[in-house]
Amino acid sequence: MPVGRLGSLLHVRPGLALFLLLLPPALWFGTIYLGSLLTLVLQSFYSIDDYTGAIVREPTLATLRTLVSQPAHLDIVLRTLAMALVVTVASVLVAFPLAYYMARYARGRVRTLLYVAVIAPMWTSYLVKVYAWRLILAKEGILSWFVARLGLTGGLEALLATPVVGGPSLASSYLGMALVFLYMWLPFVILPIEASLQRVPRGLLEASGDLGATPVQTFCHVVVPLAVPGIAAGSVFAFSLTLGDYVIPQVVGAPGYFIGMMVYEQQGTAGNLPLAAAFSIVPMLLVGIYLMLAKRVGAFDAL
Amino acid sequence: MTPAIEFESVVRRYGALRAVDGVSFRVGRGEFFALLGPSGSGKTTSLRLIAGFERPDGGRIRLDGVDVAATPPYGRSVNTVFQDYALFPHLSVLDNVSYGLRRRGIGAAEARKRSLARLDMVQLASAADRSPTQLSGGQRQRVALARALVNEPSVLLLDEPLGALDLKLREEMQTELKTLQRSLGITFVFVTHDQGEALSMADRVAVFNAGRIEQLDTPRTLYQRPATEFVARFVGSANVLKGRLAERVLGRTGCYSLRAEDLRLVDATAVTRAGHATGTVIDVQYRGAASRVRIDVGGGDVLQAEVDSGRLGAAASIGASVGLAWSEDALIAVNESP
Repeated sequence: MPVGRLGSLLHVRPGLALFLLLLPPALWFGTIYLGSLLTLVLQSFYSIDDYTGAIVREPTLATLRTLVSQPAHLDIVLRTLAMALVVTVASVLVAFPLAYYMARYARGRVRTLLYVAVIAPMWTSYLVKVYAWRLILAKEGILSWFVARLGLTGGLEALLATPVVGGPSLASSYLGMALVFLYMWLPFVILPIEASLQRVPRGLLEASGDLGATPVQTFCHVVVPLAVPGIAAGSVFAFSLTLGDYVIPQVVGAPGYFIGMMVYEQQGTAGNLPLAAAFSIVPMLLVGIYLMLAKRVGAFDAL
Repeated sequence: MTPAIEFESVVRRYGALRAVDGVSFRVGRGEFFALLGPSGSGKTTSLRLIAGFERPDGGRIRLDGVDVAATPPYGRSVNTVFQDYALFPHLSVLDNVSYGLRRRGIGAAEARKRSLARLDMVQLASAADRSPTQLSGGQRQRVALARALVNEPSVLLLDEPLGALDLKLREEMQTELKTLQRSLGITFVFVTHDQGEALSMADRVAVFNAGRIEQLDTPRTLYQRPATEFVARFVGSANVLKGRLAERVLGRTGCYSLRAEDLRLVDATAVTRAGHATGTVIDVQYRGAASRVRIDVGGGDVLQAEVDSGRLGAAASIGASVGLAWSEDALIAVNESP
C-alpha cells in the first residue's frame, strides 16, 4: 500500500504526531481555563477607588489584606471554612457505608440499581433540588410533619434551639444548610470511595483474617487505608464544592454570608471586581492547603 | 495422637456444582501433605475450607481434634501462603510480616524483633523497610512465607505457592520449603497441579478429581501402583491400555497402566511374542537425557515410550517401524475412570 508523505513524516517523527494531537486541547485549556484563572488572580491585586468606584490597576495587597483585617470579611471566610469541613466529614461518614456495600456485597441488578440511584439525582436541575429542599425543611414542611408523626417534635425543637446550628426552622438554620450540602455532594463522594474500595483485592481481606485479624481490625488496618485515595478524592469534591457554592446559602439557612455569595454580590451589584477576585482566591488556597495536608498524611501514596 | 487436620465426608457446593464431594482424609502432625489435581478438581476449595474462608455444606472438619464449623479464619491456628502472595501494598515488608503479631496484641518492639528474625530466615532482613511492590516474585514469596510462619501456626497452608515463579527459582524453592518444613516440624498442606512438585516434596499426596479423592498415598506408591486410570495418567503420564487396545496388544480385557519408561524400543522383526506390539513412530520429543517417542500402534491408538536419548538409533526418525517390548510386572491393573 502506498504511504503518503504525511504518513511517513509522522512515522519518522512520532513526536510531531503527538504535538499535533495535543495542540488543540492544550490551547483550549491554556487560554480558557488557566488564562482566566490567571486574570482572576491578577484582579485580586488591584483595588477600587472608594469615591469613583473605578478599578485602580496598580498592584497592591490592600484588597487581599481586607480578607483578614476586616472582621466582617474574616467572618465570612471562617464561616464558609467551618461549613465546608463539617459537610466534608459528614459526607464521608454517610458515603462510606453505602460505597462499601456497593463495592463488596451488591451484585448484578441490585448493583446497577444502586448506581442509578446514586447518579439519578444529578440528572435534575440543581436549582430545582435546592428549592425542593427548602420546602422539605420549611417550618410547615414535610420533614417537620414527619417528625411530628413520629412524635419527636420536641427533639427537633430542642435541636433548633441549639445556638449556632439552630434557627427558627430547619430551612433557616445552618443545620438545614449542611443537610442540603450533604445531599448535593453525596454522589461525588460515594463514587470515588466505591471505586477505591472495589480495587481492594478480596485476597487481602482473607489474608488479614488468616493472620488473625478480626473483621473490625481488618476494616481499620486494611480496608480504610486502601480506601484513603478514594476518601481523599471524594472529600476534595465535598470540600471545594461547599467552599465555592453561592446558591444554597442564599436559598436555605441562616442569613450569614458565605464566600460564594460574597463573590456573586461584589462582582455584580457592588461592582467591586478586585474584592470578588480576592474572595474567590480563598477557596483555591484552602483546597491547596487541604491537598497538601492530604499528601502529607500519605493519602496519595497508594495511587 | 490426634491428627492435625481431619476431613470427614466434607461437601462444598456452589449452586449445583459439588466442588468438594464427600472428601475424607487425615493429616498427621508434622506431615508434608499435598493436594494434587487439575484445576477445578476441588483441591483449592479443600484448602480454603481448612483456612476457614469457605464453610462446608456437609461433613466435619477438625483441626487438632476440635470441630471448627463455627470458628472464623482469625480463630484458627492456621496460616496461608496465598497463590498471589496477597501482601499488603500499603505496608512495608516488615509491617507485613509483623501484621499477625500486632493484631494478636503483641507489642511493637517484640513484634519487630520476631519479624526481623523471620525475615532473616528467608534472607530478606535487608528489605525490611521496602514496599512489597518493589520486590521480585521470588522475594514476595519469601515475605509471604515469613509473614505466615512468624505466627507459629500449627498448620501452614500453601496455595500453589511456586506457580508464579520461573523454573529455576521454583526448583530452589522446592528444596528450601522441604528443608524448612523438616526443621520447623510444622504441618504443611500444599496445593499444586504440578505432579512433579507434589511427588518430590510431599510425604503423602491426595490426588483430586472432580471433587473427590482418587487416591491418597505416598509419592512412591502413587507412581508405582496407581489405583485408577486417572491417577496413572495424571501422576505418571502413563499409557493406559483398556478396551479394544488391551485386547489387541495384551490379549486380555481390563484397564492397565504402562509407564512410558517401562516401554523398550526393539527391532520390529524381533517382536514375535504375543502381547508385544509393533507400530510406526509419529513424533519424537527430545528432552535432554531422555526422549519421548510417540508410536502409532494401529487403529488410532498411540503409545508413548521414554527412551534414553543416546540409544534412540533408527527409532529417532519419524515414520520408522519399531517394535515395543515390556516386562509383565510393568503392567498395573487400574480402575477405569469414567
